[in-house]
Amino acid sequence: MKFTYSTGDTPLDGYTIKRGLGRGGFGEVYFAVSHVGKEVALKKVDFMEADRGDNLILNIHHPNLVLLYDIKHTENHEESWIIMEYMSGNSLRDVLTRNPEGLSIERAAAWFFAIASGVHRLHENGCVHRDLKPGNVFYSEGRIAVGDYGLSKLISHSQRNNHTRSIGTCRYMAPEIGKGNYGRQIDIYALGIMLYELLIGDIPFDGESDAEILTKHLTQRPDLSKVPSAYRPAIAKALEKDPNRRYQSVVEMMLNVPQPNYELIPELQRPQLPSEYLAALDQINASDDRPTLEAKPVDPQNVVAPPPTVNPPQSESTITGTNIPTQQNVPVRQPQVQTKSPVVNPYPVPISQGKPMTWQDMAIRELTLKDKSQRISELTSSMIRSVVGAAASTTLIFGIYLNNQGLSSVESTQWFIWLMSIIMLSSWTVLVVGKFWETSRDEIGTKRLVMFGVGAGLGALYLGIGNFLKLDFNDLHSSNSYWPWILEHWRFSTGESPSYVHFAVFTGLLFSMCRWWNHATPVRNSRYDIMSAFLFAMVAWFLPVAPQPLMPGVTALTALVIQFASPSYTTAQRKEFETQASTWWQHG
Amino acid sequence: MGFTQQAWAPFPAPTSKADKLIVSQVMNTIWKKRPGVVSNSTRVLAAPPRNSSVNNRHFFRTNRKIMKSVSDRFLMWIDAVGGYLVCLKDQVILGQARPGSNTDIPLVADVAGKHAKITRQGDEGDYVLEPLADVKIQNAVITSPTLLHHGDLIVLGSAQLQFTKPHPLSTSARLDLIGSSRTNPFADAILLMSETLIIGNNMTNHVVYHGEDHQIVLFRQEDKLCCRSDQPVNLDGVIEQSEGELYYGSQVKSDRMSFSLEEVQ
Repeated sequence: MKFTYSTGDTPLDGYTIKRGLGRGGFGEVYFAVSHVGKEVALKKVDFMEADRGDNLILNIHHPNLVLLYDIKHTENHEESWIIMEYMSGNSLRDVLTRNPEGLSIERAAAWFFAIASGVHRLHENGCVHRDLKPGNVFYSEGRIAVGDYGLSKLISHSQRNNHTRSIGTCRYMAPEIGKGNYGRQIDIYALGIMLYELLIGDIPFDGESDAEILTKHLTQRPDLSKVPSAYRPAIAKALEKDPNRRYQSVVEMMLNVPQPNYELIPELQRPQLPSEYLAALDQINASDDRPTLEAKPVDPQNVVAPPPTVNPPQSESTITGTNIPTQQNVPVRQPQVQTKSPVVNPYPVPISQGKPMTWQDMAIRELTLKDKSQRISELTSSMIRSVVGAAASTTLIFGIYLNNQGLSSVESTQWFIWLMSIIMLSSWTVLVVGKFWETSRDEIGTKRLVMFGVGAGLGALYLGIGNFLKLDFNDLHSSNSYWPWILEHWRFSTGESPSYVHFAVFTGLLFSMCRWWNHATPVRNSRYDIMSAFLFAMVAWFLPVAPQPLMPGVTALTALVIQFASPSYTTAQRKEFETQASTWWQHG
Repeated sequence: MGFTQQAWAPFPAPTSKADKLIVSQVMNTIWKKRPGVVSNSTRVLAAPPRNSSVNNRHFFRTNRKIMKSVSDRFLMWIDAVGGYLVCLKDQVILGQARPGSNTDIPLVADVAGKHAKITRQGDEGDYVLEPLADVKIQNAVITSPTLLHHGDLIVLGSAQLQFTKPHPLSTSARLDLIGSSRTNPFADAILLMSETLIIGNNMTNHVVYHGEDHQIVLFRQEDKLCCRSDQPVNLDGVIEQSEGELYYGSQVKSDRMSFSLEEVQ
């Protein structure tokens, strides 16, 4: 690990650097001493604008949070220094490195409760940590404190892109982080991963590359077989892929985790538990028939014999101290038994390993998070727009084609009504189906089959409407035989009225041969795709869908009406998704 | 003396390749005196640095005249590892940190001005603690000089220290402060250095860092403090060094580790 400054340097007036401590998410951290001897940790970040609203995190105080003293800027405005409490012990990362099999159940739970208490205070103050990981949890003289909070929010205002975030961070990142829009559930997710790691010594989703780990976060269910059964429900719920299915608050999660017996771990201070947690616990205990101070069965292997005679330094057991309990004896409670619900992957698109993320992937991920009412209102507005589009296109057809066919005004009106209704009904159908399918990009075969069925129904309906309007389809059908190989009875011939089968089959084919649904999703490369509309018309002409040459034109116009009715993502939004796709795990 | 000589041998004979390497290294440094290895003539000065003030300082530090030789005590700041108070004397006094007091290991704790004396003696490098006030070792009150063993928990008033002799072939020892007491100036541990001090990623090293294999040995050569590395290091701005003398303010940097020495004020 290389550091810019070394012993004796004074990059920030008033503080002398002693040594580098490590590299946090946003920059180098040093141990420094002020002129009068105050020991502090200094974190160097690129110069950031002092935004008073965001600096509120400076005044959050909790025993399980690393204290922030101040933020100062160098005179040349090149660097900012975050002055914070120096935690003399190690980070949880070091503790876990020394205990590759995980900590004892008591210690693991004690670490968890301390971290959760600190995170809860952050949430209470409206701050999401966003970068919870063992490297950001510190230990000093029996006290466990969460550090590095609020920094991502502060720093996101300055040049975040210039900071390379440390590798490995993505191991604790909730699946929805890439989306860039998230709440405190991401901290709950990270708490779940950390509780797992505290107990097992390993993380649930690991891999060779960031991409592999991210894929697992998105798609894989955690393997909880090694986790002690009392902790499984809490971890399973905290690691839900869908943030709405996770615990909605830290207290909720704490209530599902059994408390440690602090008498067995005298070297760790009791955390300052959230008052909501204690109140909820009291309530549960009052309603419980069970005795409140139930001795929890302790695995004898997990109890470390006190004081060891021969013990190498820096092992977990050297962190012994005389810490007076700071809180009343909190009753040890058995966890609530939860019926485990099957974990459903909320993302229907499995992101294949090694395949780079595209902007469509990111867009679809966002679409999956829409709720029903939003979809319905979008669909309604699309359908209203399609009515306008249908009227406009029918007028167009009327103006350039129907006018010149030598029809009477009554006949023209009948045709006008028919054309407008088929364009409207076709586009409505595609809009409804497309809304259902907007979050899926595969299963093309199934979609074609469904579209054939829907199209066949529509074709029959169109003939029905035509017959009701007493239309004579032969009026507009050119008698030229375009395609001699088409069987005679499939074609219109003078004096014969078309059959329902004819309409059903050809409309069905037209609907299934073209990917209509791709024009109704917001995930499109451009809003209007004239080329596709032209291709659809060609399909209608080749089939051929009668009456010819009216129907190819109607097909093209219908495609355009659908495109007009369903808005697509704007260029700016697509750009944003593209950036997200290329660096999506870095959005923090 | 009212104590028995008790050989400590908690470690088996070195078996692994890495262990053997350390042993040979330590043997080398302890027994093979190689005078003249560290001299000015062997140093190749790096090109004068450009505009960075930090680099300039390194450059001028290579001028011996402004660098002070290390005497009894110094602070060793190892980046990403810790800060250590290193005592070179054979006899150190532990006592309360007060202005003007001259204890070797000043403790910020409820202890006497001079609370205990630790002496290194004999070829074996035995450490004997002589109580000057109330002292407990492994929960037993002691009143006379007592031999310290690897892993002993020493209680001086409110301060608790754990004594270890991590390396089987080095007579240097380490004192770790446990609980809320601390040294002044702050250090993560106290190192009682006799002939050698080994920094590496092996648990039997005096200072353990968690990283890739790399070892730096500090050793005494006549009155000088020197260091030797198994990989080329940048020593006070002079690149590609494997061995050299250390001064107050010296900085040693390699790809994997960096530390500097500071005089105790």
